[in-house]
Amino acid sequence: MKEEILNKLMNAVVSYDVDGAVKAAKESLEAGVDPVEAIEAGLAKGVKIVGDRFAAGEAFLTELAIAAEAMKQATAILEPAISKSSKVPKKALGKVIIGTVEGDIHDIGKSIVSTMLMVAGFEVIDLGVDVPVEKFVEKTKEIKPDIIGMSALMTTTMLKMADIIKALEREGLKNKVKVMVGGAPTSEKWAEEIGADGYAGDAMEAVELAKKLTATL
Amino acid sequence: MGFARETQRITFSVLCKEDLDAIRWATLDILETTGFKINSEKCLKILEEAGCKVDYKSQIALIPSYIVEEALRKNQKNIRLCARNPKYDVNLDHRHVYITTDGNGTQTFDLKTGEKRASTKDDIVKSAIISDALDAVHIYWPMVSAQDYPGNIQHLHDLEASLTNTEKHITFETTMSPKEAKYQIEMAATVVGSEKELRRRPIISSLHCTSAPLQMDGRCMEAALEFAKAGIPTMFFGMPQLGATGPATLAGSIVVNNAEVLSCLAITQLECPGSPVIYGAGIAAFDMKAVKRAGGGPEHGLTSAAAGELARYYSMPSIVGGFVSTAKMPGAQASYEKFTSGFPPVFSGCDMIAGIGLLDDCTTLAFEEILIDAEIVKIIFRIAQGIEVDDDTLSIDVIRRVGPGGNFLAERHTLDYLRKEHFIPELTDRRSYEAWLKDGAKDIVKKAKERIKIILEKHQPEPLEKDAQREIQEIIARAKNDLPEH
Repeated sequence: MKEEILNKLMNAVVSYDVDGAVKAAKESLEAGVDPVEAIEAGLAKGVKIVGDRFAAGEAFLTELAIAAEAMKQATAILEPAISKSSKVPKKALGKVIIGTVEGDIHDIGKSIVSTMLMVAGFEVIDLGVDVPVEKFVEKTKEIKPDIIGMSALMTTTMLKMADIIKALEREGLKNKVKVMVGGAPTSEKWAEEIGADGYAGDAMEAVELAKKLTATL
Repeated sequence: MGFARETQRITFSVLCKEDLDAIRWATLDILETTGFKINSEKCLKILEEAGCKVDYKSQIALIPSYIVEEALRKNQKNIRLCARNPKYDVNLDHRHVYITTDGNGTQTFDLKTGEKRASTKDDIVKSAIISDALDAVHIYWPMVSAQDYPGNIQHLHDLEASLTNTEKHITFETTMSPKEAKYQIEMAATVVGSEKELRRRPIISSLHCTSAPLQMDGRCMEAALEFAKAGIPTMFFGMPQLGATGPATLAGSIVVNNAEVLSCLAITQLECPGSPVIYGAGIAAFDMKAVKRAGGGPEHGLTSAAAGELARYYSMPSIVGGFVSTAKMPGAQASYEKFTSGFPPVFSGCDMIAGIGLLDDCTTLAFEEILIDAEIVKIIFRIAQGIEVDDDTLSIDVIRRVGPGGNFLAERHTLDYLRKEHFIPELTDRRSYEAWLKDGAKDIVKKAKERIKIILEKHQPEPLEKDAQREIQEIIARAKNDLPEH
């Protein structure tokens, strides 16, 4: 019975069936399947399959995005029951806060990076767009992330990234966290210039970089 | 100036009247029921006062169709983009196709070292001179930004470099604040003599990108209104990416773009009735494996052509994306992608196509590419002209005279029609293998580089008057202390 439900969860994700995943999550609660197991052995297993296919160039990003959405919505159903579970959820690879800097409302690149980091096993807190320097600092103090990700699409707004790093230094936070940057006008040289820990040219590189940076923490 | 559509004999259209009507209806539906988001209280108030339902918390305005229809009616129909040198004036009369340089890149392949590096003011100087010299370029858009200058006046330096090094019309896409707009207006007014003269003869125009889906940056819109107030033509340019920030379907993303452009048009016409506003679109697919925009794809060519037809349906002139490539270097991919995304909007008769010269999806300047793209532009213009069939071109008398087994080389008719009927290349190599080998076996990238050297040595755009130059520098100095640090 449990195996059947775990397979239902996994297959819903793998076949991009968001409604099916939600339905299976409800069934799994009713059947008394441990929610942590339902997530890890059912939903996450499905996401990994799609993620591996994407990494191999066989699946499209939209397939990965739908699979992630199926997992997200199904997890929301299971979340309330987790505290009663006897199992300990697997630790995330790291905690990431990510946002588009102040003055810039461009969202899509950052959102794709958020999704792919989540799929890879990171805990991601997306601050949204037009995020002031102060908010990056405040959230760093509050959440204590392993990584801060900053995105900008204009040569003028990317200058805010330097301000954020300076603010982190002033508050004594810079050495406790890794900073990565991305967005069309940014570059490896830019990251070096402002004292960031890395630059990623696309979402896949961002995941690789995040993994590399957390390994050094 | 520009490609004269009266000479076009190729017929080409992407959308029929029923399609256009359907897109119009779908757009009005979306605007009325889903709305448009703009983070500017000023703009939301403008819309609310005109009759829109506005939610200040979500910053979304629901726009009823009569406001859109009224805005279309109020839009200036006879828009002219003027130039320092009036012979380069651009008449947006639906009877010409004009080519702009592409903007706004951030990296340049250094002409001397070949190294890819952050862009500088000198890159703008050089690319403006080259564009001034090429007859296939009708409008100069600063191709990159002057990143070697402080952030708050970076784009004023872009404008200075442009005004100084080309006599052609200048359009830019980087203004994000009304204050910055004021300085740019002042700089351009200095060149023509006064703000009144600038309104009469706008030698600059300003393009503003919306943010798909269905959004506009409030600061960017307020900057546009500043230009509109001064009588400067504004362009609203949406860039939904198929499957990411717009529906995966071309028609769907055309609707999203349409909603964004018409919303900005509405705000502008409510604030400054009768403003000259131009319809923009740069809709490309989002590549789901590379996870990047497919600027050089066939979808972009199609949607640009469609956007031009839609703009004409609305009696608006258009500026559409074209001649774009995601190739990282000049070469095979760059060339076929430039062609793919370039020919449909030309054939459809879009008023302006933006634009030539950049690589890696509009981010990287390669000087050679400006010349290669200019060649591709001319080839496409030639194809659009099609085949002229009349008594003279049927050449019956000439055929009779030359007779079987003769040749046409020494015929006066050949000389008379050569330049009109044949595309005369500048870079394309058609020589024998031996001749090509003897000449150094150069590819067109090398040939373009040689040409650039000559252009930069010989071509001298008319300099600005010394007083104007000095005044412009004073304006920038004032702005340095006045404009907020990025």
